[in-house]
Amino acid sequence: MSLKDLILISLRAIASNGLRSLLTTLGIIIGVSSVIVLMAIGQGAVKGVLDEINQLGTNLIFIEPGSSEEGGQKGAAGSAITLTREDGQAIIDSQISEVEKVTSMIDFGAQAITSSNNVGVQVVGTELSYSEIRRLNMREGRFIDENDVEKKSLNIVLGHTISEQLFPEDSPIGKNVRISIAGGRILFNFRVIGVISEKGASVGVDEDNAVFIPVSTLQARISFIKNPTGETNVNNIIIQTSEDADESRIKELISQILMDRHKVNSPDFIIESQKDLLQAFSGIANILSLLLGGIAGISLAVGGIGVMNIMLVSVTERTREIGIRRAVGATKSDIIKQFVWEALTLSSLGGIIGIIIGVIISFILDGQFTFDEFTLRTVIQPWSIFVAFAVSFAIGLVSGVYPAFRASRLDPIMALRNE
Amino acid sequence: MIDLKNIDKIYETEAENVHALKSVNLEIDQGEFISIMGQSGSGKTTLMNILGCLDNPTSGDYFIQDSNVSELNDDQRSLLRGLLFGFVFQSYNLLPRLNALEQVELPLIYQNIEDRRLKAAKALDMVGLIDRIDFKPNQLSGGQQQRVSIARSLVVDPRVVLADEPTGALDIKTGKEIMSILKNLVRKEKITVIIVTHESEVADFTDRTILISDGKIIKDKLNK
Ligand SMILES: Nc1ncnc2c1ncn2[C@@H]1O[C@H](COP(=O)(O)OP(=O)(O)OP(=O)(O)O)[C@@H](O)[C@H]1O
Ligand SMILES: [Mg+2]
Repeated sequence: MSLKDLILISLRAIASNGLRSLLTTLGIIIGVSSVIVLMAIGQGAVKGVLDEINQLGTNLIFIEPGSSEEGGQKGAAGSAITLTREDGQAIIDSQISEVEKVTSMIDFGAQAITSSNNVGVQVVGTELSYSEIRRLNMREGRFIDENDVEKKSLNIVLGHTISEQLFPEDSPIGKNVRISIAGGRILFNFRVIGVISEKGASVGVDEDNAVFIPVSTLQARISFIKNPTGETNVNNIIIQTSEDADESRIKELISQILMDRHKVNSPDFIIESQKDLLQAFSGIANILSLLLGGIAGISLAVGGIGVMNIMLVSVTERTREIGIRRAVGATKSDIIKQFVWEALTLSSLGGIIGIIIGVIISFILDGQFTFDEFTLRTVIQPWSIFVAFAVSFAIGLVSGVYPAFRASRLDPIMALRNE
Repeated sequence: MIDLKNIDKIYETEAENVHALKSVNLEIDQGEFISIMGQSGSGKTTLMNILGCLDNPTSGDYFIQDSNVSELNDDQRSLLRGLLFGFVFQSYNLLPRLNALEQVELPLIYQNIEDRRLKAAKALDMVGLIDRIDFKPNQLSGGQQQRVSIARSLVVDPRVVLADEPTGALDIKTGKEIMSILKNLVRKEKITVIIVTHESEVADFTDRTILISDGKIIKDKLNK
């Protein structure tokens, strides 16, 4: 029997039972399209996370205060601020060649007040290198510069959202903003020198809802940010390395410097490179996406059972046809081929339709829904299409083989006698 | 051409073993026109199935053109069946979805034969149905359906056509038409035709009648 005949026979059998074939393939269609859509959502989430991490800048190493394990007791991460601005300076002073920029930042909650408005903000004490590392774009004005830090100026830069809330009407540049810390016990008057362009959701500091002031101003005016040794506590040190730097070596060098300074044997801080973060996040997101795909895969398996079921019914129904074919010279393997091919055609058609529907739905869903900060994105990986098709093909094969085998085992005489 | 030697057929069922054929000996030459008669349950269909390689005898030897069928495996018998035999059944056994031409093409599919449509059309022409080529079974009369099935049995240029009660479902007039088609085949194409029938009028068309009773050949005579 030629391949062409095989194809014609199976298409004919499928077409002659149109509705039933459609309902059978529906299982596969739903299974395949949900695999495609859920994988696309999963991969969209992966991409979203990766984009956010890359948006932080490139080649970064983050240091955060960690729990100190002194005295055998492990505190919660960040519970004791063990990181200081002087640590950052020490890293600069060590002159590791691959380290290009270092910035440290302090941030805490406060109220920003104008004559007509009052909003909660995150105050970030920082310096120019921060805006360089974080790749901040200015909507208006300029960022804190070396001069501000040197003079301990009372200049302030507003995040996009804060600027909208405090000055909905006109440009905030040159206007006064009062920052109220610790329930109004500490009050400063700042002058706005710049507004940052909208950044959108991002990992780490939410810059749209933050205000930026010179770190030296904070050091000079607020005592509670100093620790008992007189150093200034910071929440973060960010280091930018050169393009081809060996990050794990730099991490080790820096850890050693900080441990020496803190006089501890094990790190009382957390040091992570951007690549570590990327790996961790994309690992999680990939697992998530496989999990989603796996759940959808269950419905695909159910669809496969449907195909097998219909093929079994079809073999029983067509016992006489099988007898006739055998009488006119069909071998057992001709019969097997016919039924396997029919199952393959059913499930592959379902697979193709499912892929088309899945891709369309993924495109439609892309960016349609936003929950809080999170926007649903979909990314269709070519391999997920390939996998979906291969799986539906395999399902056809598996669910066709047994019924076909049964068909071939029918005794031609019995089959012909069957009414 | 066909030589049955001491053929026994025993059907084993849960209730009992049915001895359907008992040491049947039969020789048939190329171009013979034979009828098999006998009471219901006497073993006629069983004999036909064995002749057509659809079934195996329990014991005995079956030679076609001097090769022993009992020694062939399932695939080889399928091949032999497709090449040498054509079957005509009482209930026509056409596939419901195919038109007349496709019904007749069917055996050729399994022989990988070229020019299928042409051959099928020729076979339909032989049975006088060339104008019904694209009719489906449910659009054809019983006699026409039986002619399609005869065309299907002829399309592979068989050596033997086996017809189990080909006129059983037809009225007398149509039955006679079918018989004259079969008779023509024997005369013109030198095909061996073996039919099973209950009616002596039908048997009278043939040259030789074999009578079976209780699994044994009890009479084998030439008709005039
Ligand atoms: N598959 C089978 N299993 C068991 N017994 C069978 C089987 N096929 C036929 N028989 C028995 O073998 C005997 C011969 O049956 P067969 O079909 O050859 O009769 P027949 O002469 O063709 O009868 P009819 O004229 O009614 O068609 C019967 O007794 C029947 O019951
Ligand atoms: Mg019978």
